[in-house]
Amino acid sequence: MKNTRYIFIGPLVILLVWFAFTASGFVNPLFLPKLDVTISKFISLFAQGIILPDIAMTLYRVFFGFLLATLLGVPLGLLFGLSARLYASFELVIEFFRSLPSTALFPLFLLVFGIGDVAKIAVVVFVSFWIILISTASGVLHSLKTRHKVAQSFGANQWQILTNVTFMEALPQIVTGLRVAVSISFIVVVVTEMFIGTNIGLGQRIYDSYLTYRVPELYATLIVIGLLGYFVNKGLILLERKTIHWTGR
Amino acid sequence: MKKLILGIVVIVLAFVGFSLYWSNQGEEIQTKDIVKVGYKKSVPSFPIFVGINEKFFDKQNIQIEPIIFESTNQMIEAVVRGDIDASAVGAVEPALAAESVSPGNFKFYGQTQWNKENFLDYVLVKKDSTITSVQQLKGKKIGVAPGGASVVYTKLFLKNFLNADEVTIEQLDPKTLIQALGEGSIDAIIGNEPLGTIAIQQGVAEVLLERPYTDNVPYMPKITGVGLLSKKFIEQHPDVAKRFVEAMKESFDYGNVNPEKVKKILPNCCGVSEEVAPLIPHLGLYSDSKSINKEVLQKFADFLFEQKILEKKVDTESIVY
Repeated sequence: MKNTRYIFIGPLVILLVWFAFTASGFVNPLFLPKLDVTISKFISLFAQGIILPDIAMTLYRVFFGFLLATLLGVPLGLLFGLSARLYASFELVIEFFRSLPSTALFPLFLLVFGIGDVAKIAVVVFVSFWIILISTASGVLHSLKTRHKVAQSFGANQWQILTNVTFMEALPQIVTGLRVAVSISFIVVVVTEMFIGTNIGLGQRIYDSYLTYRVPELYATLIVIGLLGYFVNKGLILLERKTIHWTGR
Repeated sequence: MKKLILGIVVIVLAFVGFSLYWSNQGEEIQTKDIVKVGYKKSVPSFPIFVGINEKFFDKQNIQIEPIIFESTNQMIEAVVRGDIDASAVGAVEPALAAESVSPGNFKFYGQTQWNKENFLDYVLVKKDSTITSVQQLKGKKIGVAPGGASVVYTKLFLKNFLNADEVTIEQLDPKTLIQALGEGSIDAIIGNEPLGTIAIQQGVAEVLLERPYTDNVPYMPKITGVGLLSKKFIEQHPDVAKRFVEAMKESFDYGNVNPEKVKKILPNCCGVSEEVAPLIPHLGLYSDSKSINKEVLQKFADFLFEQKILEKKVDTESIVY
């Protein structure tokens, strides 16, 4: 916690370099706008409420897709984790689909789900699902067998062992998988908003700003996305610390 | 012995002759001025390839080094960075937007225009659609190319037929427009050639209306595309730039007069298949910078500013080569 006071040094250095480069005229404003202009645009995007619907829509797509992926991935991951044979039987399939780049799937998802939100959320579910499934299965597979035996010796049944021992032991790894999945979901949603039709969303705002060279707006939106990603990740870490206090023990 | 000496002399002379020939060839190549030109695989890039094929650049002692790009924006950025000396004709809106952000990086050496006889824009609906008039788009979805300009132009077109707010405008990657129309995610699309011809040829679409943008976006004939020449290149190589523009003018004129011949080269340069190329009805009108109506260009730039497509006003007076 002592180190939190240093948290602003990195961003300040970047802002200082940004200011120096643009104020000296060293960089063309087409590629990097002036810092003050970008900050003023950032403020006006919020003050006028222009960016709020974009943030809301992007977050909705991220969390709805992420939630569906979690609801599918965790139970299936538990199932695969409980049986090493089952996991081995499907390992090739899991690795095959996990390796497919999400961007390569856009045309397929467009074909199947059309251009609406369903296609964008489906891409998020597809990408996040495999990450959550693997982390859950791995957490269960690597849980200590001694703890199972101790629980058995105390007379716990299979359901009690699964919920109170196996799941709890796998939980830190499941949460790590969820954190990775939510970050990837963010990236995927922004990219789908750029390339699969939409009128609202941070990805759409970035692409639209780029096409008409509203460069300060482009940078301001990128900062918004970066900050959102940062706070979502920090939130999950905080939640992890508060709820899974037995991590590493 | 005499025969042997004669043979050696003949071989030596032949060798010297060949060496001189090849060295001259090399000199000829070296003396040509190389111009790096960015293009994307689309119809308006054809004048560059007409110039190469018809040897208009050779005539000006210029060798073109074509460099492919994915989008007009990427070409503009390459011109500004100095990666290329010129660009093929690309959309005018991003060029004006770039000028508004960072003035004085390039000049327009040529343009393409659409008018009532020569246009590339269509409203397409799914084949055998029940939509038979623009008014029937009320409550429907229409797909357009991404960017604020497409949305503004589409609203301008729609408001002449119905309340534009009653139609949902979806911005889509042009590559997915036909697919989205085919699978029914959207009810209509506004497509520029060759998109319209491809959709019709694939049996996916039929024309609902011609010239939605040409007829409804102000300032006719509409300047839809411009070719850029790097200002740095003009300053460093004024003579080469002048000769390049001369060759481009010949290419433009050739394209305007010989559209059928141009269609034959489209598959090799411009991302149009051999089946579709002969079916494209129009290619647009092309002309050099001398034909650019500066007053119309300024009014068009002001219009883009009023419509908030440009963030700042652009002075187009000095942008024309």
